[in-house]
Amino acid sequence: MSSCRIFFWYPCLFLAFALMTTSVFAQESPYIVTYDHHLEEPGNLEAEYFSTFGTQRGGNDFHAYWTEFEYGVRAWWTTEVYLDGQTTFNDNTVFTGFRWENRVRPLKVEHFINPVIYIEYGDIKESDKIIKEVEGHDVESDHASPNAVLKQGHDHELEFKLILSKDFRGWNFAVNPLATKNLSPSSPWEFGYAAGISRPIAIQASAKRCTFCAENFIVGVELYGGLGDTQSFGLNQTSHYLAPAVAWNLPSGWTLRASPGFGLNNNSHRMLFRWGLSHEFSGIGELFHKQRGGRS
Amino acid sequence: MRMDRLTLRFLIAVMLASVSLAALASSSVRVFTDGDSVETLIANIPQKARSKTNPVEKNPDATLAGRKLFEQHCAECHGENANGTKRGPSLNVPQLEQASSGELFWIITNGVVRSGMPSWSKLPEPQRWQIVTFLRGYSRY
Repeated sequence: MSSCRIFFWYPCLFLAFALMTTSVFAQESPYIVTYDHHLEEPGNLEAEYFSTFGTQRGGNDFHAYWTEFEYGVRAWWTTEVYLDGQTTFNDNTVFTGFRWENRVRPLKVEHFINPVIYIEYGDIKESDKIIKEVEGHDVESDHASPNAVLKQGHDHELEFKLILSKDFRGWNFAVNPLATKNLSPSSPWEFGYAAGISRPIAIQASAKRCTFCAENFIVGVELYGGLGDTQSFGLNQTSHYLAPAVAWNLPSGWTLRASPGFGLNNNSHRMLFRWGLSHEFSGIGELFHKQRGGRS
Repeated sequence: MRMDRLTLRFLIAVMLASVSLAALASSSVRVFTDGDSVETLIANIPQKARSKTNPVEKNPDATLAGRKLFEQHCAECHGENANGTKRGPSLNVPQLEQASSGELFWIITNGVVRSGMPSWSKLPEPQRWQIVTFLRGYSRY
């Protein structure tokens, strides 16, 4: 399927969900790379669009984007599909692959630290530039070649994360160590990390219904980067980013996120400006239920 | 990088199986529906959590704020009037009406994850207490 056709279907799907379901208020964190332990509510679908504008030394700047469909299968299990693409300035636009992830919460109740197990399968071209995570020896120069060259490379990979997260006095603290294995036999395991801290501007809700209430804004900061691989573990030849982030949860069910990310060393892109728009649809599970004749 | 065909087929099969499982599981999203289950749930709440007091109880805006939060986060499953829907049970049952504020706070915080109710710990503590304030005063509201 061509890139253009795929991106044409995004708004159509979005409209179809909007017509068939109701919207609910989402309480989304500002994180774009880091995960906390909160999963999607069961039966709800969150459709998300994210953009990353990246600067590129030794090549052309780029605009990479992805769409996520995040579905709460159970209160302890969320499944999610990503479709990735990118436009490199003075080059072209390419569809760069898909990912399918699952997050499972193994413990029944809240604990001092709450673990969630994350497993992702990705079918990704090397022209993918969304930088949703940084792993192994991912560095800025990986993205410098023209798309015609980059899209020749194709990865099938499995990614595992251990999401550790805690809520305390309105703050959320989250750490995600990750390990990735390219399914080609010769590739080593690669490692990386993401960590985040966030808090709503106000932790008590106001009595009024409002769009601009302080409790609708959540601010935070993320730190993420690579940790090498099994052949050379450590910080050598790795890239790292620090990214302040803000989320604005609107009463209509929309969430707007923005996050300027700054490279912390010479291997990192100098700047990754990200923003995202998401909408939560309630009752998708009910639609499945009706399709199956209403049996429970 | 190339992956052998067998591995690719295996992955596609796993993916299709999981999507089917997801569709089946999603159509049977249920939470506890009878009094016995509510009693069991409440009986299993730790003693320390039961005795917690509501720090926003005397705040005059807490009930209104709690109502707003209930409508935003809880009503889609429990109904606008907390009488329950296909997705979640009624909260207007004696077991919950008689529950202490600490017990209600614990249920909101932890959810009933294995039965379908998610944890709402993503709401800051004061907001969860505001919901408790609303629920405690619901019959008077």
